Amino acid sequence: MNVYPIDWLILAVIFAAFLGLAIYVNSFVRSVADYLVSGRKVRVWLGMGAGIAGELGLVAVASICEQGYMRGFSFVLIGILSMIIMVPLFGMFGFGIQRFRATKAMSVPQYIEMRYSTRLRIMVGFFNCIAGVFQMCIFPIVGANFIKVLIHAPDNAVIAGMTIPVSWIIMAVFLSATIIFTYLGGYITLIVTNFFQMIIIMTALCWIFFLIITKTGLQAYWTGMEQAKGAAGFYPFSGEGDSYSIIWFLWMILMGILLQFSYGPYLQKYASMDRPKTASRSYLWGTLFGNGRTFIVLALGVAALGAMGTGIPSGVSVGKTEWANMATPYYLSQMIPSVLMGIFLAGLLFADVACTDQYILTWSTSIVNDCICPFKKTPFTPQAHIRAVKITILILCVVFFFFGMIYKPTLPIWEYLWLCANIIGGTGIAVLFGMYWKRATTAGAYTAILISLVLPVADLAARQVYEVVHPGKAFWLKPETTGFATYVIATVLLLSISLLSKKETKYWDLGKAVKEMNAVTK
Amino acid sequence: MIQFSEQIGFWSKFIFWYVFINGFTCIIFTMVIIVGGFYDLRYLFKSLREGSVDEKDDGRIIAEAQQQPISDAK
Repeated sequence: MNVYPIDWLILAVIFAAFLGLAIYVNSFVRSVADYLVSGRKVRVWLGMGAGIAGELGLVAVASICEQGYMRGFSFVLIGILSMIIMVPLFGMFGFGIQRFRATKAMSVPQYIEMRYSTRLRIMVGFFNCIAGVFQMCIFPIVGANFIKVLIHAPDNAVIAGMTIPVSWIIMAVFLSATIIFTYLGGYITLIVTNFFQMIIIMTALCWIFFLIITKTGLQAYWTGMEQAKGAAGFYPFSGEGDSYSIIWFLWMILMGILLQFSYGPYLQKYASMDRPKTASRSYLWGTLFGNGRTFIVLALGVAALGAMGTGIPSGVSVGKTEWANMATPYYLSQMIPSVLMGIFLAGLLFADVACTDQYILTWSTSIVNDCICPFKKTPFTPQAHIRAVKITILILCVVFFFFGMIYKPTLPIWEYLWLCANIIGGTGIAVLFGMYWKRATTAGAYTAILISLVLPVADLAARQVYEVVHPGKAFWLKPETTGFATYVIATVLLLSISLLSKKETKYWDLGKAVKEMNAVTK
Repeated sequence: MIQFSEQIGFWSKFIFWYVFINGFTCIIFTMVIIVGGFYDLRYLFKSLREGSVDEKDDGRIIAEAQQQPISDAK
């Protein structure tokens, strides 16, 4: 291993400091709202700082590095184009996100019940939780594999006479840390520890990047990538090799918009803000600033590409997909000196905790609030409510561990994550029209949500059948075409069915609520 | 500053400067967030210590809090 005692010491000191902080913050929790949405007291800078750490989880670092290694800087142009659309929409006009905050709902399904019906709330909660949990299942194992390669750990370790894969041990450490930090104070602890985590991970990433540039030289770094990828390393629509496509971009943009109204972790963050305007301001500054942050991580993957090329080094016996996952940590393990390694490891450990905690808290809250509470005749006491969320967290961590034991990567991490998000995105259509269109009916919402679930699953099944009938041949429909068409069909059906119905709806004017809440002087 | 590939032309140069400017801005902005975040942390602790507790705010839909339906939805 290339980790020295000083690195372990740095890791231990930072862990102890975070633990002490979490114990202190836990004393502030007095209600369910404190535990789940920080008592709705988070202001813009703290929200942004914590949001950065939440989004820059270990799985995000691993997947962005993988994109940098596979596709160079071509993702940058995708980032610019999406910023041109998303920043005015959400950051300047607060489209939808301000209205969602004004509903005072803690989760998407809660709003669905307020606007449509209890049964639809249960259905949305159930499907979104399944997709969200399935998406999260890879977080611990992907993170563990990244760390294993980074520290040059052996494949197996012998503990009490048993041979255990090292990635399982790292995964167990990650999940234990997740349980400790979510049990201590919930979302309040998450916001506070994420803020400090952001400082550590940003320091470590910037330090590593400058170190690479100093060692390799800027010219060699850039030329290395130009030679490895050619135009496809810069222009995403070149059509060469692994490049992106225009329909893929349109699908991503549409899904990105819809996820702002449907993706639990995003909306729980908006729900914790002190007022609607804070949600859009936080989005605006976070997105403008977030690009640079993504590019620094992307640059690490590009550095690996420029230095090692696209081939798998001799002595490494893995497949192409697996190598794309591990190329960057493999390269970084040879570049990072002692001390910096300790800080980087602490940053990565808490990057995993920050992201996993945020997501696991969201989905366990949704499981309890949307899939269990509606069936209870008497409501939970606040203590029992928090206990139910904590038990759900524990069960999910066990599920993630067992999933990690059997997981074998067949898709790039990035594509796996978006595939799961595609199902959740359909809920965004019902939420969006629910907030802005008084004629959107429950029947229309049901149709849109079901179509968004059925079509991607049918597409997946059709691919499997096609593979059996025509082995080795590519399916005639691209996944992004199905994804894009699903959202268009779901929207058209919601509009048509709602227009045909004459039933009264539970619409209320959220625009007025936004104005009233924003007018309150803090 | 550095030599760009003539074959790739515009995109290489453009992406280099875009990434450079964004990366630099990101580092400056991180410092601003850190300073602002400490002020907001003080506010968070103060308001959590002094704020009132609403036990009904737990994710349930309570009858009196529900909105009035709009009947002219045609």
